Amino acid sequence: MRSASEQGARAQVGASPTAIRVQGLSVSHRTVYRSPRRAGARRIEITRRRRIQRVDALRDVSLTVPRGEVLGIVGANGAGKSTLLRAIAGILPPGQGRIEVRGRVSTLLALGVGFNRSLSGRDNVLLGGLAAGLEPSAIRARYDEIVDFAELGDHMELPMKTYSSGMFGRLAFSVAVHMDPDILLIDEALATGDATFKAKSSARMRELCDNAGTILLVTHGMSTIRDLATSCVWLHRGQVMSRGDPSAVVDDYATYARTKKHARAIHDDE
Amino acid sequence: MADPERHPAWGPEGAGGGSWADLARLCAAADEAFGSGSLDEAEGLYAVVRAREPGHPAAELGTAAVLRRRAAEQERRGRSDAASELSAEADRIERAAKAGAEVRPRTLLVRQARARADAGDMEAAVRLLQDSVRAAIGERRVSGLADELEDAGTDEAWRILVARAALTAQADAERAADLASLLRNGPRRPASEVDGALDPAADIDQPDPPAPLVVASKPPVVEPHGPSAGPAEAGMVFESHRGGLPPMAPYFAEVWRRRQFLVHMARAKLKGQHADTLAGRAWTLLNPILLALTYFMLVTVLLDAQSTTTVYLGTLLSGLFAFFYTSNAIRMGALSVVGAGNLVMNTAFPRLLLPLSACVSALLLFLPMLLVYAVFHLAVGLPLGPQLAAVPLIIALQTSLCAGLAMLVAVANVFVRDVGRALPYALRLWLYLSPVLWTIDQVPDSAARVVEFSPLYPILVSWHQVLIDGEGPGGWLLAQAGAWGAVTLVAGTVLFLRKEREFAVRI
Repeated sequence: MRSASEQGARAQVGASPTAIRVQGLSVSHRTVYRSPRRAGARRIEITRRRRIQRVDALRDVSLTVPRGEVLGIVGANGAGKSTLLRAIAGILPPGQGRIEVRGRVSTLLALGVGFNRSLSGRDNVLLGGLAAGLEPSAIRARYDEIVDFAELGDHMELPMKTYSSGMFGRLAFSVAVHMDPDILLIDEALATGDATFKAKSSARMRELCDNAGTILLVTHGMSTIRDLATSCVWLHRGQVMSRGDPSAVVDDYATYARTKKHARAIHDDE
Repeated sequence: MADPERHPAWGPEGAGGGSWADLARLCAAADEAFGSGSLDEAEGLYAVVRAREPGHPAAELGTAAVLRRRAAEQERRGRSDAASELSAEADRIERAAKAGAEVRPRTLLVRQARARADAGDMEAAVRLLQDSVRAAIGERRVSGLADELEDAGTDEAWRILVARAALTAQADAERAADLASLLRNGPRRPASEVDGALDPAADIDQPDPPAPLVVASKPPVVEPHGPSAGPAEAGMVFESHRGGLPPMAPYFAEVWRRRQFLVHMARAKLKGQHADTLAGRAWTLLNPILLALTYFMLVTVLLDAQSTTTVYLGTLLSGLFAFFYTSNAIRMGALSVVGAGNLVMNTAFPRLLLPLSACVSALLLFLPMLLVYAVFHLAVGLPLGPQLAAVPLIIALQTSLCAGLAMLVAVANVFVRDVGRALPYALRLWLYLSPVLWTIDQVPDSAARVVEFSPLYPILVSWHQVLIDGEGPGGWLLAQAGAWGAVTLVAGTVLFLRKEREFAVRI
């Protein structure tokens, strides 16, 4: 947790009002696949033609995220939400357009990134923290907090291979949320575990949203958006369809999803 | 000059509260979905538009078209009553849409837009203006619209709204000249002069595909990166890739900053390898010893070599260990990027850390080997002396070679996976072509040229000279080793950094 004086100091160090600016971003990638065998081909085909298909993950996306904003990103699967986060994090290069990021970015895009299952929980806390960009001293300072949150006790010394999936999830999530980011990118609901842990995780996410500088949150949980987000964006097939007040945008998306589901239910009865 | 981020006319790009849906884009996407046959998707998107703006003509007509298509489907399946129900619904919607359009003449739209703008609802005002522009273009009464817009107001904010509406309606414009005339005859100043808000370079006569409501394309002032920006304020800019290298100084600064990650990754990798075994970490010593013994037996038993002297064993040991250092670095380097899919896809860090980590792992494997050799060296009474001071230098030169080769192989393996498959064979062949199992005098002159060209040749011979012969390493040999090391390091770094950005999509 940052102290109040640290936060004040940060606000003074010429911090620009904009944390992230995306302009005209387009990202596409090509998938290469072999053409399917022709049915009834009599001879054995040694090579099949390579086909290339281009998929436009993001098309001309522009947005500006002021410092301190919690931006929710909603959309159907395949809409480009993960691609957008990864482009902002610098993981995927833009095909066109420009992204400006002011501040240190921490990503929470998958659980257990950097972990090595042959090693103990303790070792993996260090690895996960280093992978996220922290200094070892900072990780050691947070170690006890991380272990307490994960509620694993003595299991920390055992190799993570022996953990149940729930235990793995708890430790991985605990490591991920104890980083100290300026800008945090979160993809999907990463909280796993039983009801008590879920409640703790939600509370912790809420704390992060209050304390962290800027957050971009991709989720399918509309109530999460309504509770936590200060602004929202709806992506559909790589384009921004709606943005602004979270309730309104979520309503738009909900209208779309509801109508689509309803239409499919009525008409798709093959 | 209006700040594009705060001016309400620019929409909630950074302005909190209010919300905006790109109705034109939604309709376009719905049309696209309809065209490709995803009827429920199209219906859903039209529904969003209709919820935001009841009576929106494009959405209503689009929905009607969807219903007609469904009716046709039902007809095909032989369910005529369902089909006729859908057709009737489509008719009803179309009628209502057309009736609605008649009730909203152009003038009324402009007045409504002005009222909304005065009330502060800029989004609605722009939408209404867009409709009025479309209507005017459709009716070919653009100059009439221009007059009405002037009557409605001449203040700055109104002009900006009008210009914006005109620009974003470009996609609908059948004739761009009409738009140009609107802008010339409407607001007193041409579009290009409206401060800071419009792209001076936009050629009005060439409509772009539906432009998003972000226009400030004057490159924003990028604050200086580096120390003046404060430690927490690293500003980064990602732009589209045009080949070439990323900025080197910040890149290597970040590599240096993450050096502990590099070391821990290297150690964790090795630790993980022996986790299940009984001997555990002793295997890092056992592996090279057992391999050396195997080769020793091979050479002495099979080849009935000249002398199974301790000198020969020393040659073999030192040569094999040195060779293993490089071959381990290459082997692990090849897997370093393709095996780190999780890291590459989900975290941002300089990817150069991956092959460097492989090289460090190889070094960590080499050091115990050196220790084992040292014990042997002392036990057997091989020469000691000042020449041993050259050992760190040789290690350093070999390390630069290993790092360079690791990088090269890492990149190559990402793009051509066969490299990783062919590697074991290539490395084995290289071993046989290196002065490990034999010495240079045993080789005929013609072959000598070939084997001298190997990057490991000068290194291995230097090791031999220092450890076995008890002499200082030849200056020429060291120079060669240095040259090989430098060349591979530079080539490896450059190639890796150029291709680094494609890794995330290739793994």
